[in-house]
Parts: sequence; C-alpha cells; structure tokens
Amino acid sequence: MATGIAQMKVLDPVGVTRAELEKRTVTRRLDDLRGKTIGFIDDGFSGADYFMKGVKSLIEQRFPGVKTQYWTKPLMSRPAPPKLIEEAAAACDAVVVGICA
Amino acid sequence: MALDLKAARLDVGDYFEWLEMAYEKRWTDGLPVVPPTPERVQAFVDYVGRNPLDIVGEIPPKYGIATIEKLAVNAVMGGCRPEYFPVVIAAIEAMLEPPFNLNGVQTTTHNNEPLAIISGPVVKQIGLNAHTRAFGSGYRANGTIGRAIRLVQWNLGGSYPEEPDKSCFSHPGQWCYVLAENQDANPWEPIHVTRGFPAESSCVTVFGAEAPHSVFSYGTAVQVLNGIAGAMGTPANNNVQLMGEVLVVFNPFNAATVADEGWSKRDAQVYLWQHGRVPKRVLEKSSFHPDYAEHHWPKWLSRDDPDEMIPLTERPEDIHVVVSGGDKKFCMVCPGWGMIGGLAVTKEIKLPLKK
Repeated sequence: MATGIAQMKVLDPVGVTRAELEKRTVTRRLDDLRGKTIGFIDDGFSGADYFMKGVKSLIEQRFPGVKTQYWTKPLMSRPAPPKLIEEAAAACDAVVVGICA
Repeated sequence: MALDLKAARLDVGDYFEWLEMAYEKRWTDGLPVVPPTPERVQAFVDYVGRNPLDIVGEIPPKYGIATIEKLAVNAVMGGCRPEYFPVVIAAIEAMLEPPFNLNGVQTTTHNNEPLAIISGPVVKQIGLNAHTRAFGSGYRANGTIGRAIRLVQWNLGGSYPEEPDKSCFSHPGQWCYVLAENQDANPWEPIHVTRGFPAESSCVTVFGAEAPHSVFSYGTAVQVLNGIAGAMGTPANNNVQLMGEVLVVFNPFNAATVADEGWSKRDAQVYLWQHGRVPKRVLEKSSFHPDYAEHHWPKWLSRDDPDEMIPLTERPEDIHVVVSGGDKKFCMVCPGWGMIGGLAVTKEIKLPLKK
C-alpha cells in the first residue's frame, strides 16, 4: 500500500536514445510512387529473397515507371553495413527493409 | 546533452512502493529489484573512478545510451556490490563489439542468450562460485552480476518479449547466465589466455549460448571426449547449419582425466572438432536448409555427399573450453547461434587501482 510519504529517491534506469535526444521524427511518407526509385534491402535470411523480389515485382507491375534497386546484406541477421545504408539512402526515395533472425 | 543523459530522480515511499513502481513502469524483467538510490549508485561510480556521464555504448535493439551512471543504476537494481561493477562494465563492453551482434542476439527467434564467462584472479577476489552448481544458484556474485547484465539489456536495450525479442523459448539463462572458471583446478591455460590476454588479467568472455546440455562423462580421455562429441553431434543445433562457435565446460575431475593422459586443451579441441559431427544424410532427414549450407559451410565441405560428416565449427579453436563445476562426472555442452552472431568476445576487467 502506498505510504504517500516520500522516504527515498531512486534513479531512472531506462536509457535515452540518440533519436530521442536529437528529437528525430519519422520521415514524411511519399505521396505517390510515380517517378520514384524504390530500394530493397534483402536480409539474406532463407526465403527473404523470395519475399523481397515478390514485393519488388508487385510494385513494378502496379506502379509502371517506378525504378527499383536491390541490395543483399553480406551476412544475414547482422545490421546492414553503414556503406550499404548510405548507398541505398543516396540512390532511393524510399527503401523496403525486412528483418528476420 | 550532458544534462539530458543524467538519470532522472523520483520520489518513492518505502521499498514496496518502489517495487510496485518498478513493475508498473516496466523497469524489471519480472524479478524484484533493489531501489537504486542516489547514494548507492554513487558508491558504484566512485568505486570504478569514472565520470558518471562517460558513455560505454548504445545498447541494441533500442540503442539506449549506456552511461556509467545508467549501468550503475541497473547494477544496484540487480543486487550487486560495488566491487562487482567492473565485471558488469566489461561484460557490456564485450557484448557491444560487432562480432557478438547483440542486436541479433537480443531479437533472434533462436534460443541463445548472452553468457558471461569470468576468469582470472577476480573470480576469487569477489567470491564468484566456480565449483559445485557453477551454472546454478547460491552465490551473490554470480547471481547479481547476471541480473545486472540482464537489467541493462532490458532497460537500456529495450529487450522485451515479442516486441522486439522474438526468441521462441529463450531459456532460463535469460534471467541470469554467468560462469566462473576454476583456475586452481584447470590443468590447462584459462580461457582468457587462450584468447590472447595475459595470465594475470581478469577478463569477461561473452558468448551467445544455448542452455547447457548435460553430458555424463566417465572413463578414459577418449571416452570422456566421445561423450562430449556425441552431445555436440546432433542435427538440430544451429552450428551444424551455420557453423560458428560452441562452448564445452569440463568439470575438474574430467579435465584432469583428459590432461593426465597427456592431452592439451588444443588436442581436446581438435578431437571434439573431428568427432563432434553429424552425417549429412541425418541432417537431410531433419530440418535442413540447403541454402544455409551453400552460403555458410566452408568450401571444403561437400554439399553433395550424403556421407559427409558436418562439423559444428569451421575450426577446432572455435570450440571454447572452460573448466568449472563440481568434481563430478558431468560436462556441459552449449551450442551457439551460428556464425551470424553471439561469437565470443573477451574484454579485460578494469579493476580500480588499490589505494
């Protein structure tokens, strides 16, 4: 039962993130895909290529004129190398990523 | 930014009010936690002689910033004494190294959990148990160091069940997973020497390990090793599909059996690597991914021969050997996650200089 009387102080154990400190927000969603370049980063996990290439194919069919680029991570279940992320961010208007482990 | 990193302070009534608050705020993974008062946290920071806002790293998958102060808060909550804190810091530093892939270990569907293997003089200095019940309960240092590591993963890493941690079962080591090496009874060099550190160092080696598998071990050196190899050579561990690393723990009795017949640690590793294998035909009858083999097996392993004997690791030295436990006739085998992560990383424990 709470005593209602402050008898001690305790410190917050939760870690703040850089995103919170820098007040980062989610990038604005694309209004439409016409004329855009959509990237795909394949985790390399078994079956990921089947799924990602399937999504890529559907996008290409439904949005003619959209350009696509495809990358595969060098080792599955590991974070994508920074260089790969930089390359995808520079080349694309949006990137489809998926994770699996 | 310094002010933003400092831990906020809250008022609570008594211990029980703190406990209910910790559960409501999801500051604990399920076990009761010690109130991290400013005085208690400061004692930990003072013990290691660090600036409380020094940043050790960012803990995935949430990437919460781990300052010395935040690590101390979680170590107090875990029930540690100040002298255990350098061990906790070293374990977190090791887990943040890229080969360990903590982001993957924290979120995988696989059931491995970070094991902290502690070796060197610190084992005796802080009362770590490396004898009977080496993986079990009964000793404050073992239990609370393990809890502190887990609370860091929980509160700084955001390692919550399902979102984002998809581990199918995890295993009881997710509450606490610590193993101290018994150097007095070790006929070989300690694990940290094998991994390149001076004998007089105290170190933490972290490894993403499944739950320990018990192996009845008795007889000659070859009989003991064959039992361990048999426990390794099963078709359903991740190693046989993805290579990686494995941990074998010898109890002092069986380590002496093997060493007294003239086997070095290296000899034992090579034998286990040669004999702890799975025939490809057995693998194919269970859950086997041919594309894993294609991408992750070394080139010298045949993908086509059903009689090919598949090892758990690419090299003998990827079978880590530790001596611990009671003088009884059981060893332990802990498979890993595979080459994708949880790979062993060793860090020296920076103990404060004696004043």
